[in-house]
Amino acid sequence: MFRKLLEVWKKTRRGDRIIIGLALILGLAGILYPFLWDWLVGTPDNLQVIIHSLGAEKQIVPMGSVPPEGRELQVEGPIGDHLVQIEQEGVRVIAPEADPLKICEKTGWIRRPGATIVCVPNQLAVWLEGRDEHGLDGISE
Amino acid sequence: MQGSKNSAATFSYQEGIRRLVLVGLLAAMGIILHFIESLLPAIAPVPGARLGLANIITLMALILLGMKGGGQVLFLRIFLGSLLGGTFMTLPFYLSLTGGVLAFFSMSLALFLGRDSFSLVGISILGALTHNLGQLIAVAFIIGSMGVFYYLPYLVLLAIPTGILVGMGARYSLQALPGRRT
Repeated sequence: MFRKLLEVWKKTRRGDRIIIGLALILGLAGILYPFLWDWLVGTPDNLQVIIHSLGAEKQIVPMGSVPPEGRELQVEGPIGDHLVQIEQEGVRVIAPEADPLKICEKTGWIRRPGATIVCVPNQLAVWLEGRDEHGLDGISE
Repeated sequence: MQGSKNSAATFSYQEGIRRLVLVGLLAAMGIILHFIESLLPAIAPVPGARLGLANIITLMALILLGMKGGGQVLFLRIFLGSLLGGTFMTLPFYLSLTGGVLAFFSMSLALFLGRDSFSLVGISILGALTHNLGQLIAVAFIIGSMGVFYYLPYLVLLAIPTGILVGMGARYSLQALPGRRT
């Protein structure tokens, strides 16, 4: 296996290595960036769940307003209804039977700001945001 | 004089038939590979993460037939494939189209401008990256939110192993063809 990989690497040319290197660096940086941000700035305590369906914002649920036992929301879509489960520690989506790949369900729980669950066939996106009460990301003076 | 003209005409006629057959064969193989891939389970719980087997065919077509023939194979594969699969003018069709076209142009650019600095592996990784980018742009438009770009780093990382596999697949397939070296 490793010998095979080494053979592949030896046959690569300069351009290949540049592409592989750039993809590795950008990919890792993109994945680590939110963690670094958390570590430096800290997780905002005013997290809100944004439920976006059929190209429009359907519902905004502040995490602070969720009761301890959690909350479930039904969201309609072209191929069926989604169940959005919001609990103190995170959010997940249960896909309808008609969803062939159920990628949104397999995404599992999301916990940090920016994390997104997407269901492409049902045109649904659910993500977490550290918004303030006015629905603004921030105010400059 | 007459004879040489005739033989030239026969030659281009044969060349035309050869191209026609190749385009048809490659498009058919692309459709089948795309279908086989849809039967495989998703490789990661990330929207848009795929092996990209059909890209083997696009790469082979680009090398064997050039940009024109490669484009013909790509469009035949996407249009006929979606018609046969019943997804014509629906979401998977638009995703294949945007991803496929973007990957096609980026791979053509790498092939015809930098053949000396890129091997098939690098070109196929480039194709996988631009295919992902095209799909995410299409999804962002359809869903109407930029949230999907959250997955871009994961897709970029996954493009490396899948691109290497696809590039090797294309290389070995081309080597196996009679009278061809890459």
